[in-house]
Amino acid sequence: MSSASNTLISVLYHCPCNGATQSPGGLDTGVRVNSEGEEAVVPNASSNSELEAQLKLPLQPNSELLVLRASAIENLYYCDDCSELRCSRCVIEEPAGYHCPNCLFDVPTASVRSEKNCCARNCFQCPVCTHMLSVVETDTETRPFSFACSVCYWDSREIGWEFEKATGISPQIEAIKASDQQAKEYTSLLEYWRTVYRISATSAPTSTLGGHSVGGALKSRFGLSSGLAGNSASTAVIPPYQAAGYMDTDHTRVSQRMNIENVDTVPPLSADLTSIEPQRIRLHMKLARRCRSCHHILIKPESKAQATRFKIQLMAANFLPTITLPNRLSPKTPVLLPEMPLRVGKTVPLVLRFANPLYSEMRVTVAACAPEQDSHVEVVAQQFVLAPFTELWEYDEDEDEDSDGSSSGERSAGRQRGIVDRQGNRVAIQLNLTPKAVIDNLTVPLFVTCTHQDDMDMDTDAPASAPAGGDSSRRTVTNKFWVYISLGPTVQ
Amino acid sequence: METPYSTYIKAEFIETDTGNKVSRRSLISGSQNIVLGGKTIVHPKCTIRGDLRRAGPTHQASVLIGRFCSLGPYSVLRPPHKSYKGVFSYYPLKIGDHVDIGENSIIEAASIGSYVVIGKNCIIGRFAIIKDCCLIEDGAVVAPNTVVPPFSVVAAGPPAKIVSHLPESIQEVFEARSKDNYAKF
Repeated sequence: MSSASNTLISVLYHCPCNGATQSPGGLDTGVRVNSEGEEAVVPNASSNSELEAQLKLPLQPNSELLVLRASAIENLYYCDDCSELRCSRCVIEEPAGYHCPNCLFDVPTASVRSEKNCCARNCFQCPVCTHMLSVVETDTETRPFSFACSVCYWDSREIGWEFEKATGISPQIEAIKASDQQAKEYTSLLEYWRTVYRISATSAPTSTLGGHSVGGALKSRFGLSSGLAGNSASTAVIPPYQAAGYMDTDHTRVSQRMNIENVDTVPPLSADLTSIEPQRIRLHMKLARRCRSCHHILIKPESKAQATRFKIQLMAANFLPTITLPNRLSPKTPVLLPEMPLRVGKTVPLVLRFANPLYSEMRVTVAACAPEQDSHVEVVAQQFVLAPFTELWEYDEDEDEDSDGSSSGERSAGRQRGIVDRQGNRVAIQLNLTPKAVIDNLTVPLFVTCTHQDDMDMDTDAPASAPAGGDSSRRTVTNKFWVYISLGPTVQ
Repeated sequence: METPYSTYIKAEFIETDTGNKVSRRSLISGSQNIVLGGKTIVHPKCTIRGDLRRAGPTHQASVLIGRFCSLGPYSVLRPPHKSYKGVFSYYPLKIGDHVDIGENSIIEAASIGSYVVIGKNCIIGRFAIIKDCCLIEDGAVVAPNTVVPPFSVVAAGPPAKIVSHLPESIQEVFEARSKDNYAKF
């Protein structure tokens, strides 16, 4: 059953980076995200309200920037060296392998350069609909194979491409294109200038233009200004260029094109599709991502094109609590999602579920922003503890649901006020939400602080700020971030 | 925003010992050629054509489906067929684990990898190969013989093109989603 989840309801995590311009840690607005290990002091209720008063929203909920800066937790990464959230804008991407999206063939990096980022095998794009072309057998006796598109039924015979063998198309195409004078001339020109550059670079490295002697005929043909050929410090004698076959003798047309001042009109795309050739399919990259500030690798994919595993995968969902809005806690309990659309002035209980992905206990503090004109949120349970994640919880789920379903309405003495449900590593808390204005998309900002003990005994070079008490092998990690919960429109 | 619980009438679904829940109102032909991995849900009015199989040694599965899959209502799963050198034959349709097929979609692919989500009203052409961790959006028409590389989002059509890429964590997201789906069914 496909999920018919309401796309208006979402929980977005805000990354406090400044995008490509500045690495995180240098914040100018909002709350400073502290990355060093803090003392695990649990603030009591009174100081939490002070904290609430001091909180400053990094972004207004209705701001358009929210789309850029905040995203769902699946798209976010986490650097465990810096102990900070990272979004896709504050990571450095680098290629980790190239492959063709059609044949899924891994292309070695050297071939990428020489084949101009295209697949060298039989992968071509249809010029009409850009679908992949496949080699089909045709009825003609000589040259029985050709390219055909299965979507628009374009056939390469329309441009005269017919092949004798089904495999090894590339050399056959080369043979067909060999008669193209202009293309051959272009490649030979390129080769000439490459050799010239290579020789001049090795022989005269200090001169700015790499002085080389330019053939007199060449110079006059292309109307080169004397500035380029001014350096007459020619060390190696390079023979002037000889045209391989194509010579454009129309000097006026060439000099016109070289001296174009303004381009006012653009010629329309020719509708003559019979002359368009299929292009090769461009290669796709596999990306490896690094933290911008400490260059720690966050994502490292496996080099094989088909593998979907990762050697290193540091996702935010594995370190930070996942916040969701549960529909109901068990089949027997009532629906928890408030009635949509929300009504102004009516206080509804909003239930949020926090799930702890770590193997150690996590203390979470939730603070709502100061009341503003859109809505008023009262956080009933301001701090709570999340139990660690154990794989065993997945097998015990059926038993837990039966036992917790009955007591969701009652609060026993041992339970904390505001906690609706506790199942394994997940806790559902209740917030009271009162919309105050009619707006298109009500967004509730919440400031979440989570603290946990990280026992890593391999860290001999621990950060300078030693944790208060405890062994030196454990460090306390605190993460603070803003969460924006969008709930859809409000009506009167 | 979490998946809601959905209930079904007990008598309407057959539950096998491996945990598959097959609707009695689904149209399954050739059930001896269909292999369902455990904990797969087949919704009502879903058509699975196991009878279209290659002529040959009789014991040959024509539709192989993995675990925690969900085949939406009114969807059609057909093995692809080809006429090669004058011989007409059907090829097996292989579907991986954790695949969610939306309602009213027609699947004639050669193989679908694991952790794939296919939207509603999609048409997957013959011999398409969909690799792991892909998302096919609603209404996409995937042309025959296309290869959809991993982590791609394919939309629109025909022919459906790759519009964006999925984040690396999408495998866990889809896995959790399909397990959640099954648990709440």
